[in-house]
Amino acid sequence: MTPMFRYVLQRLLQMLPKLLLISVITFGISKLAPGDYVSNKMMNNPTVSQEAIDRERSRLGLDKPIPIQYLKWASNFATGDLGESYDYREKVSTLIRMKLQATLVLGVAAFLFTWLIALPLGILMAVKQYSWFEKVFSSITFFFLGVPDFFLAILLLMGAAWWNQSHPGFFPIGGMTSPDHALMSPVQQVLDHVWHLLIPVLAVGIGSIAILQRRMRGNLLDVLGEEYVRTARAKGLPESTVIYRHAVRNALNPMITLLGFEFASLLSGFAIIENIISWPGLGQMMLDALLKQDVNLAMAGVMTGAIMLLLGNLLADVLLALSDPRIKLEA
Amino acid sequence: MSQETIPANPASRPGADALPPPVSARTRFWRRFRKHRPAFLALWILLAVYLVMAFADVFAPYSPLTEDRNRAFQPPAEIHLKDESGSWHRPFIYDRKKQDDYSALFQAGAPATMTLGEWQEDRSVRHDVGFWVKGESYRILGLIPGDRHLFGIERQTAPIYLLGADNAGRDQFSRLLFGARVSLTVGIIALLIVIPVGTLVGGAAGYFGGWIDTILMWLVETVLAFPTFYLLLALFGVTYKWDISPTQRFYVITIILSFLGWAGLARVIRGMVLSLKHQEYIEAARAAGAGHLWIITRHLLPQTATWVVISVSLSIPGYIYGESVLSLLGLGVQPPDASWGNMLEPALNVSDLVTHPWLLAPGVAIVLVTVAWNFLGDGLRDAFDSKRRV
Repeated sequence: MTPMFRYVLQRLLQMLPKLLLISVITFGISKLAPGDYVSNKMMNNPTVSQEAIDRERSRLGLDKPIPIQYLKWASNFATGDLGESYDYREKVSTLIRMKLQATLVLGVAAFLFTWLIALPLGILMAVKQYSWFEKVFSSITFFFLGVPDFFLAILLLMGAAWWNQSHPGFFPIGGMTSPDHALMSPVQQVLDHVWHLLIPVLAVGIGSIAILQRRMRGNLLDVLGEEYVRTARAKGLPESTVIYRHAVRNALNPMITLLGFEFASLLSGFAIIENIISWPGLGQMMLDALLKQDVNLAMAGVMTGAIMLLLGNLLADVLLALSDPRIKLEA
Repeated sequence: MSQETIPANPASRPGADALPPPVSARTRFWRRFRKHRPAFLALWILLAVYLVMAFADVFAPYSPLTEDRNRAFQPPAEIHLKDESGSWHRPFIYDRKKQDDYSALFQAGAPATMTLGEWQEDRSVRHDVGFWVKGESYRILGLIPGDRHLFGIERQTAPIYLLGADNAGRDQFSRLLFGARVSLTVGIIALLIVIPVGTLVGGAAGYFGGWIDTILMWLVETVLAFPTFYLLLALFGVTYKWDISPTQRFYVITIILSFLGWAGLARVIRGMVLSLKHQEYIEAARAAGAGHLWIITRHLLPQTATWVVISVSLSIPGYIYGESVLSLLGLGVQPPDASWGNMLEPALNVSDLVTHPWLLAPGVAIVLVTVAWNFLGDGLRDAFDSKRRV
């Protein structure tokens, strides 16, 4: 057993009690609300008889005491059975699989957009420190740090709608596909997706670029002040070699840990934007499930999010250890 | 030979008095902070915003709940100085009328540009804008009664909507000022919970170590592993169904947001205390018989104060964001009470937004305040950071 393997195994085991506590808290919270799924759905409907309500309650197991309900949910969850959604009358795993693609597409697109722009920009800003270019761009990014993603999304939607007034149907306002998506050729379908991604990716990406770019810039500036960079310059290496071969490589190291956190945010990180841009992903379904007290579905969402976060932290630590031989892993 | 001799003490040599007198750390900090222009400006802006917020009753021409459904989405008032005939007057506005009479469109002499639902100025009567005018009566913060408003229309002959009206015909400007009371204080009140809990938990974990550390940090890691947004949704999904007063709801929001905030602070404080606790003065305090709580609160935590102040000023935008997102999704502050988040809700309807762009005003306010807090936090960090001292 290599030390790395043992470390990962230990960390995975440590996750279990945390997940247990998270599930207890979330389950408890979801039961704190007045009423339950059935009362939300049926109480205001006078045509539904009391027997029907009772029957529905006992069918869903909502008539049992809360600890029993939790144990039932937890034992199912432990065996990998996420249960059935009350509202959709469909297996939770099927529902999540259906919505997963949309969320992942948005997450991956936003990730690529952010990193492919932020890293070069950060490097450029560090290399051109004190130039007018750096001054202008750092004020712009500082400003965008203050623009919340939901407001940026609203602004972009407004701009798109305004442009659409003179060019009907030019920008998509929300959603993931055009109405005639099914009739398109495969190439057109991909382009259609990309076109629909434009606004959500810009909305979540611009703020992240501002953050990431500042980090990269800071890292590189730190590295450029190191002794070995001076040595490299002193021995007569061309400036481009000094920066891109020696400095940038070392400045990238701390960024690798961020990849772990990016992974964590892949599934639950964009829920707000999904709700605002009506992106048909997990975020909208989960908001709905939480409000309707569709417990199985809501719990599945929270637990997936928590597992991704814990795995993301582990991934960050492992990646850091792999990229930096000085770091020793200790659980 | 002159009387002057070179003194033996080098400190009193000529020219030595040109050295600046020694300055205290506080003065040095203040000087560095003032050099950071944007941060200094941000401080003044924030002070002004919080002042206006506290006395919103006076600064706003109307109460946040005053509504006139016939004036839904009325555009912002245009303040004129010159009337139709070209003569000058004190500032005045024209009342606006909505063109909702179908038949007028087809009457002879109707302007070709006229469209249904358009707001037109009624140029026949001038409504003077006055200062310190009599209007709705109020009690500032529930205490000081009054009925004077900083500005308004004399004798209230027409409404003045500086930033237009919202979907229920309420004055956006007034609501913005009152909504700030929620949006801007959530963060500050949450910190009143976050700072003591976070520093005490972190301090205890770092100071005692052993099993106390293990348990506390396990708790911290668990809270940090919650998917924030889902947890917020779950908590708000519960509370928004509770039948509670707006004030109670405000405190519920605050407590929930602070529940998520303390863990990150605790983790960092623990790390700082770990490195501090083996210093000699701690040993000395312990030898002198100081209790654990005394050492933690009097000797260890003050050392972390700088960091706490900085991190706190940088975390306030996060609370503003949290409150506005939740209210925007309809889970936080419930209308008709105003908060910047729920004021943005009508803006989610994009077709409304394009025709009524003034609905964006609360968003602009959020951006302004967030940027100001960011600048302030940055300036504080730079001023405290002794490494950057030149």
